[in-house]
Parts: sequence; structure tokens; C-alpha cells
Amino acid sequence: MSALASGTASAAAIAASVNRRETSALAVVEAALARIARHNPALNCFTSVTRERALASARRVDADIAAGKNAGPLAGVPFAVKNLFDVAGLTTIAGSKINRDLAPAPHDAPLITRLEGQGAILLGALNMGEYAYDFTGENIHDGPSRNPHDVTRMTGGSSGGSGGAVAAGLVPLTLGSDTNGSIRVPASFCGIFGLKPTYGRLSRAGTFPFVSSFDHLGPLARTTEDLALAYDAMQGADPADPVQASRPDEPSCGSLHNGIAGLRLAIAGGYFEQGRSAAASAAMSQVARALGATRTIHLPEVARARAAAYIITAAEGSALHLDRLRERAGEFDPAVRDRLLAGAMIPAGAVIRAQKLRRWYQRQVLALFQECDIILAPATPCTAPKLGDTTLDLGAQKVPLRPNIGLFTQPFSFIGLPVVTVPVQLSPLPIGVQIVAAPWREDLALRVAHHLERAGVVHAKALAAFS
Amino acid sequence: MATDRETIEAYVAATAACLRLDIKAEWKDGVAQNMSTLMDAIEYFSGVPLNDESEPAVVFRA
Repeated sequence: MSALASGTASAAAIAASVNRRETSALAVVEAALARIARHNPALNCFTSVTRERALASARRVDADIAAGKNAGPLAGVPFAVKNLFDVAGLTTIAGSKINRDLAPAPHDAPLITRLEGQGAILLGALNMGEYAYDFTGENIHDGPSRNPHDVTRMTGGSSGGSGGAVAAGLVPLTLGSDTNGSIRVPASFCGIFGLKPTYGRLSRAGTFPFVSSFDHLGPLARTTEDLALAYDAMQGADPADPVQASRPDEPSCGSLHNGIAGLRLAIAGGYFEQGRSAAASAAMSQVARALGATRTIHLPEVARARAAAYIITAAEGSALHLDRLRERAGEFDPAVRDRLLAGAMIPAGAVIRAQKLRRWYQRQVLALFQECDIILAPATPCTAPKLGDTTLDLGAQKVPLRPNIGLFTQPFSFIGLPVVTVPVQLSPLPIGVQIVAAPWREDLALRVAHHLERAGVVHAKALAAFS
Repeated sequence: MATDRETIEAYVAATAACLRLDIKAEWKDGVAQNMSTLMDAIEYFSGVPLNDESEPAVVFRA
């Protein structure tokens, strides 16, 4: 079976083939729709499939190419988005029951428009944890998204459908959101690549928020080149997101192949070495060895910074949902409801103090980038847990699972640093490593990730069960 | 020092009433457990000494 038919073709390979007229966008989309129809019942990644829209878009791309027009670097590439993105004609449910009462979105989110502007074709919306307050990919209303490496295991969350859909090859590219780790955790558990850009880099307009001061959007894909293509396509100022920084576009594709010569690489020690599984340690060793990284650095007060992130998350998230908590609390997932209700009662002084600590911590961590360009850290403390698990073994300790999956991701999103998660294919399950750069240096993180991919150290596995 | 459960439950009951949050009897244990975890987190990060001039993250710009 060809890579195009099996779903293992990269977005770049699909676009090249479509642009060369070796295949049509319509054939690519029909094959993807067939894969979704065949495998989604077992994986539960898609909550909506925009079939007619996708077929119409594919015909337009093919017509443009037939007319000699440039269809773009993502010509004919199927993609899907976490169901907190606005998709014209669909209700933006954000994994909830309550939002199903809202009117359908009148417009697409700007990031969808930008990908489509480069020839990509939207195939639907993806399962997620309720209101993105989740690291598991479980959803009480829609059922859990299931990990293609083992369907009895979690995809990770909250962008669980986004991770599972790419890992199974249903589509080569998805979009997710990451507040405390919700792109990086599914990328790690599902064995694929994920990019959480710098806070303020990509427009968040047209998406349902969670914690505005932490929310990021970004792509998940089977290759680093696909991450870079999607990331470059989505850059650009958007006054509709007041948090977005006014910076010029800084494309990453041109430097992707530049290698790691001259880059100063460091391994996050201390906190990041504690309580992690043997798999997380093995993945870190493989990546560090392949990069020749030997220097260890220590981020200051990481555990306390993470505690502060936990407070800001609970307080901002609860403030967002306060009216819904007053009027429709019984319609939330109980696990989400209880956390939000408690979060609504956090004293204001504690939130302000957490924000002060955030600024202090940011200054300390940014100073470390005077000495290094890249920090390596595990993405998750363990491989994908079984669905329904509620505890996690952290070293000798058994701890609650939900709040601790983000142990290693929260210290970086807390201060908005750009991170690429790369998949190390251990047996029996994959696990991710974070490649962290200074603000606005997504290009460096992508370069390092691409170097590892070319060296064969990290890759997205083709899964026979879903070919 | 961790806040005791009785104090947490009293705080949750009083604050919920002030905020007009109706916490059903069967939810109280889960909410109190989460409140306790949040209070522990606050206690923990408050151990970092910050001077009065430390700036909270600025979001609003005129």
C-alpha cells in the first residue's frame, strides 16, 4: 500500500505530489475520509467530519492546479482541529456538554483560514478533554480518544483527538491548544511531533479559551518539516487576539536543515530528573547522546513555579466559567466541575503572588539562555497510562494522575517558552522529549528536532493496525 | 503548614455562599479535596521570597 493511501505520507510529500499532479487533492481527501470512516469508531478522535466541505475544497485545489495556479505548500493536505476551534457551521463545543447549546460558529478561526490559504483542506473537529482542563484525553460526554499504539491507553490531553488522529495516520496534520502541556502531552503519549510556539506568537482568535494568560495554539504532525510548514503558514499579525505580539513573521522552513553546529545544548537537571520513569530517562539519554549534549543546567524553584502555574490555571479557568458554574454546574464533567468550583474560591492575593513569582521565575530562566540555546527535558514522566487510571507512580510515590502528567511541561508554558516535542519510539510505547528554546526562537527548536529526525533518533511510527 | 480539613470545609461553605455557588452535598468532598490541594500549593510557592517591587505579569496595554 502506498504511503498516501496508508496515511503515513507527510504533509510535505502530499503537497509535492498534488502540486506535481501525480495525485489529486480529491484522491487524497477521499482516502483520508475512508481512513476516518474505517478507524475512527475504534479511536474516537473525530467528533465531527466536514465531508462535503472537504470534497468541495479538494475540487477547488485541483481546479487551481489545472489552471496553472500555485496551490501552496500545503496543497491537498488534509488536516483537522481540536473542537475548541471555530469551524463555520459547527458548534464550538470545547469538549463540553454546555456549549452544545451555542449557535454554530459563523466563521472559521483565523488559523484554519491561514492553513487553507496555503492549500490545506479541513476534514473536521477533534475530541478533547472538557474545556481543556485535562491531561488524559478522556471525555465524559464524547467518550475517550484512544491511543493508536494501544487503544486501551490514553492519548493524553487535552488535545487527545489531535494526537491520536495524527498517530493513526487519519490525517497528517492537526491543530491543538496547549495551556499547561496539552499539545506536548498527547505528542508524547501518541509518539508524534508537536510544537507549542512562544506565548503570543500565533493568533488565538476564534477559539474557546481556557486560561488566557497561558493559552497557546500549535500544530501536531508526523514530521518536523510538517510542523514547520504549518507553523510558517499560520504566522502573521491578527488584531483580533489582543495578546498576540506585534512581530514580523519569522519563517522556520528555510533554516530547518541547518543542523546543530554552534548550538549550545543543555540538559535540564534536578527537578526534571526526579520522579520520572525508566522510559523517560531512556528517551532523554538517547536524545542527549545523539546531540552530544552533556552539560546539565538547573532551573530555579521549578516545583514552586509549577505550583504557581497550578493556582493561576485554577483561578483564571474558574473566572472564565463562573456563570456556568452558578447556573449549570451539574452539566460539567464532575472531575472538571470540582476543580473549577474550588478554583473560584482562591484568594485574590494568592493569584497576584503567583503572577509575581511568574515574573521572577521568567527572569531567572531567561538568564540561563545566556549560557545555552536549547534546554532538553522529558515531556511526560511516563508513557501513556491505561484509560481510567487515576494514580501514577512517581519514583517511590503514588500520586494522583491528572494533576501530575504535566509535571515537566508546566514549568515551560508558565513562562511562554517555545517547545518542540519529539517522539522516541521505545518498546512497547513511545515517549516524548521537549526541546525548549528562548522566546521567539521556534526556529532553533525545530532545527534540533529535525537533526534528531534525520539521524533516525526520533520519528513517528507507522502503525500496522491503522494502515 | 497544611490547613486542616474542617477549616477548608468551613471556608468552602462560606465562600460558596458569598459567590452564589450552589455546591450539592455529593460534590462537597471533591470540592474540599481540591481546595485543600490549592491551599497547599499556595503555601508552597509562597515560600519563595519576593520583594515588594516584584512585578506581576502585565497583560493589559493601553
